[in-house]
Amino acid sequence: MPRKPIMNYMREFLGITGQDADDLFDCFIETFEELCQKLESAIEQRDVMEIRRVTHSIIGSSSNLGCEDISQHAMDINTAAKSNDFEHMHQPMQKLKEHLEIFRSCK
Amino acid sequence: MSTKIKVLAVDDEKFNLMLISGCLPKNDYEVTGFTNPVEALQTFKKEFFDVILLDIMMPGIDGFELRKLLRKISKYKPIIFLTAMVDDSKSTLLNEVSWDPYTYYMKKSFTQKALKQKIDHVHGIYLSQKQLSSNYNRMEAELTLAGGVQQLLLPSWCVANEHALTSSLYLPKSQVSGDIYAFFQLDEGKYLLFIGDIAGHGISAALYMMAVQSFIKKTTYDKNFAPHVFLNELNEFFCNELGGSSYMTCSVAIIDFVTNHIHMQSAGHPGLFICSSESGVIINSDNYKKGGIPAGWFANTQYNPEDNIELDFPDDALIIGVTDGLFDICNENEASLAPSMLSEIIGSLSGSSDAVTFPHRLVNAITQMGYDHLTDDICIVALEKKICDPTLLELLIPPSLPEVSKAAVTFSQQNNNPKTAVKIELLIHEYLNNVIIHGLDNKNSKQRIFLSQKKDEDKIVIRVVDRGRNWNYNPDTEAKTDTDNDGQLYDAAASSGRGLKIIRDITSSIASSSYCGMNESIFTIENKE
Repeated sequence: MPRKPIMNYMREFLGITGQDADDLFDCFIETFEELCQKLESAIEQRDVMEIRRVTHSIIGSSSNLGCEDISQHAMDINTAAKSNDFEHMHQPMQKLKEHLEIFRSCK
Repeated sequence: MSTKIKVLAVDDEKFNLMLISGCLPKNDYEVTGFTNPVEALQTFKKEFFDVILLDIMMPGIDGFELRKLLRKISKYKPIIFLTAMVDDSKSTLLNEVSWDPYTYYMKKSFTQKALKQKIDHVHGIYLSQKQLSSNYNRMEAELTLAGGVQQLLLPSWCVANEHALTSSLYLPKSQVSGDIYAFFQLDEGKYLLFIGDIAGHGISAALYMMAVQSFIKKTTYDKNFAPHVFLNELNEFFCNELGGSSYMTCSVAIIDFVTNHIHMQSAGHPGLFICSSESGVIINSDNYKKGGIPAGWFANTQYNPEDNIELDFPDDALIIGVTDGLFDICNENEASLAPSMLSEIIGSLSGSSDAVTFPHRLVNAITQMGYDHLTDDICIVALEKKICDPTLLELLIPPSLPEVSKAAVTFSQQNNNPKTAVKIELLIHEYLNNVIIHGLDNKNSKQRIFLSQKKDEDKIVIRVVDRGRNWNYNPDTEAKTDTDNDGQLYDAAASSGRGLKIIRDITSSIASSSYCGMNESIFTIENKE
């Protein structure tokens, strides 16, 4: 369950605790869900601009909560988008969806 | 008053705004967040913020575009781009940040400590800049005031004494100047001319200048007074009263307009020029190679009578004193005027100028040659002996409408032809009323307007010299012979109102010139019986 390490991260590195931390965690799940949907759609439509924009957002929000593995998967997709390498986007996209499922279970 | 730092945050992701708000302690920071850049901009126009945090990649208006819009409202408010930009190989971010000195950036995986430090740091820089700017503006205002006060302590730009007419041009490099000059009567026909240049520029030089002015006023000018005596006292004043921390170059001259004789000494200062248009002779007192040590340089400097220079001058002489700033005026290639060239210009101009316009015409001629970059203060003084000429009447009047009326009457009464007398009175009224009401921004007690009336056989020439705004009209210099014209032509041509039409009706010609802030207008009126 990612909730505890993220809460610890928020307390230690961001100074966010209590209800604020809960609200932020829930918002992250919501945002992550939304972004994953947009990303999947963008990959299907081969919309490179949108892929880069969405992965940029995922990288920003996940790295701010210490979720480096989510950040890395998004970065891999972003890198593949630069060279229009849609084949190499599927695996990291799958990883992101797996992470999403884990977060959904924390709600 | 709240000491919290007010932060405006703009990011299209609500999560990021929550993060920033949660991260910054509410005791010290007040965060207002927007996911919509347009709404953020509208709020920024109405409310005060100390620091702005911007995301870069946003749909619609991105961070860079939003910054441009914010900068139209505030040029100096610190902006921090928060970015997760993974690839800046084209240096886009670097370029966008570096061209604006008040833009910073930070990576999005920040900690609370790093974010606080960044915000506090940029806010601190902004406050320091603001304080510096406020101090600078206050200093500028005080300098401008000081410059105004300094000008009030100097003689008017044109002064008429019993025996002489003088004119001066005083051009500080910045608001205040270290140049100084004084001209006043000592005795019957004898006058003191003092012109000098305090070392350095700016406030310290200006303060010394005012101290020297005070010294000049307090000095005793008795029968033993001589240039070397004055310089010895001035040297002592610099070394003792002023603490010996500065010095000045200067020339002091006793000019006798009855015997046409100059008794002078120079302490390291450019010499006086004495120019006679009749004989074509130009004398530069520097050629006597006497004197040379600036006052205040050494406490034990002794100025001797042997270093005084004795000169005679003709009745029509133009006596000119300058400070060395004139030699330091540069052109665009930073080359300054050669002393020999300046002498040539002075000699050439003296043939066609009188004392009234000489200083301004000299600077005008130099700037027209491309030497228009001031690197030092400039002061030019021109003097001429008053010659008794029954056909010439000269007046210096303050800028007041009652004085204009008096002058108009005085001038008109010099003419036996009643028609001409009326025209003169009308011309002076119309023209000078316009100069005073519309042309002079500065009407202080030092402001003067010079008028002269010269009678020739069949014409009267009225000359007006003022230091007001340059007139925009281009007067017709062709002779008008029909003064009974019904005015239709003038309705079309006149652009300055009814006064100009009247003047053009009265006069047969108008000539107007402007030199470095001085206007000279010459009106010719036919004087036929």
